[in-house]
Amino acid sequence: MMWTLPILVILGCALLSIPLGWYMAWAMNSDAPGVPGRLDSFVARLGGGRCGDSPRWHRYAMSMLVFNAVMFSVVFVIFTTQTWLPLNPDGKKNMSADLAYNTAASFTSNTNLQHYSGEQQLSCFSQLFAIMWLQFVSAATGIAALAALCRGLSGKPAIGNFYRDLARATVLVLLPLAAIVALGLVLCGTPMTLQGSAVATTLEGLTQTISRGPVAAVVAIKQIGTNGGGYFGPNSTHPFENPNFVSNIIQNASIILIPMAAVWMFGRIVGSWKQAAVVFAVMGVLYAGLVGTAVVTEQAPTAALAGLPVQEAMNLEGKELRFGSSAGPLWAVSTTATSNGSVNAMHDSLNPLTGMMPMIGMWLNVAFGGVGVGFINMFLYIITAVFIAGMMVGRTPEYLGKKIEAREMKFALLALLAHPLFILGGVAIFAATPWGQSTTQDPGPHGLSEIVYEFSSAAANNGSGFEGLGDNTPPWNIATGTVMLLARFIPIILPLAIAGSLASKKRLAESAGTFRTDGVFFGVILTGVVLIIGALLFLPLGVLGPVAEHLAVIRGSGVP
Amino acid sequence: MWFVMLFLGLAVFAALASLVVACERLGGIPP
Repeated sequence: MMWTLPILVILGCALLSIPLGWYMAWAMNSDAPGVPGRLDSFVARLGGGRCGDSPRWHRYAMSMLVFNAVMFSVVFVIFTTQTWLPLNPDGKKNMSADLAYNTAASFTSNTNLQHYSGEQQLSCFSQLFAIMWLQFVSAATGIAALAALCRGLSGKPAIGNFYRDLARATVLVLLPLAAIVALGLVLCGTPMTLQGSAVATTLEGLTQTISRGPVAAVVAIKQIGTNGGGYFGPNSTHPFENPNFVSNIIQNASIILIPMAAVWMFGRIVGSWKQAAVVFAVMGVLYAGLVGTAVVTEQAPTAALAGLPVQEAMNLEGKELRFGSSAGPLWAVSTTATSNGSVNAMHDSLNPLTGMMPMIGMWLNVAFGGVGVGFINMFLYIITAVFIAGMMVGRTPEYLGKKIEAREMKFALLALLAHPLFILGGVAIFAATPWGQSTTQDPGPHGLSEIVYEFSSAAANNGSGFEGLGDNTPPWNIATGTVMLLARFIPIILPLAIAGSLASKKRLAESAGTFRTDGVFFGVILTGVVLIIGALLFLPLGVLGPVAEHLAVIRGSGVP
Repeated sequence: MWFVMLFLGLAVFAALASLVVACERLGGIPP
């Protein structure tokens, strides 16, 4: 039975992703008149007629940065002035400046790392017009960037217009899907109201305040857009956010659906289903491997209950049993492999080796990855794999008929090395200073894992937390806020630069010297490159944290 | 503190914009 839910969710989403990817390609790339054309005209009118296609990648990237800088500033002001703004029925206070910085950076970067508790510190206005707005447009930014990358690779003369792509991704892709998911959640019992908290009298005669609000709307885009920021502090473990087994399946499927579909969208736009199938297979193997390992390692009982007079078949600590026994590890991997970050179980309570699977998902960041950006991250590995394999077998390094040269490799490696730099650099500083040492809940390997997880989550734009860490402090807020912004946009800017560079090159005819990238052999090489470059960089952290903790449990020295 | 945090965020975006300009000068532009 433990495999039923993972198999159902993974296979179901893989099948649904094909028509959705086809639809997304139409929505993002169709030149035909109709709904996309009318939307383009509307955006052009808003922009005063200055919304034409640009052949230059840097204009596209600059538009993206300007838009996101404005969004960051606006929501920062909203968070720090929400007391005086409308839709504040519970009289929520203004956020502190460093927490507002972290929260604005977190939602602008599609991370949704939450150093605050939503139901305690955000007004309805902040939830709807800052949080939910950014959950739409930050996810749309990822889809727009992928569409631009695909156009650059497909040989189109123009890379596109950012504002037009943003509108298309928001209105044609995210809004309809979020509406469907929200409707499903309301049917499952998730609240959807603009009224403030309900006040109830308990059987003992005490007064209890029950938080509620536009929960279904927020949760729908939180999952569809791989955002992850919940309406309530406990996220999808909260019975209002995730009431039952069906709502759990809907949400888990929503997390991985668009990242899977993005691969087929790429195949449709560049006109090669075979290329897309190879990438999908590699991502699928990595994702299924992480899910399988997590489900198996979570079958061991938790060391926290060792020696107590209780019988446990598996680790049930920190799990919501209404979702089923394998729902926790499946979600833990889904949410971290796709840069979502929502949780339906306490990750801090996972067995040590299970807890390492979400970390590996964030270190690799390509097991489908975030909306749009998951494929963009994989594109960096593809460029690297093509170059390495081409050099090894003496073939010309080419991808989609374009020659890969030193310039593209420099951009790709810069983007790939930025990710470990943010994680390893951040962990080194915080593990060696009171900024991190004084905020961990546990000493030893588990305490190190808490710091590693926090920086991995920020750098992968994931947003989930190991919890136990006292992370709402100025050093944590400023450090992770800065990492989230840099880690979001550097891996978008550099691949766009590569696409711009490749777009300027002539498409080469396929010859006997061409190294094929649409077969099983390339899939194996790509998997190897992802594991060697992506995983080995983080091996020491894995050994010092979760592996050391696992060995301590086996040895019987227990968990600190 | 309020202004410091806001300007820190904008400074990060300015740094990212510099990266775009640097990449463009390295030659990531189609002719």
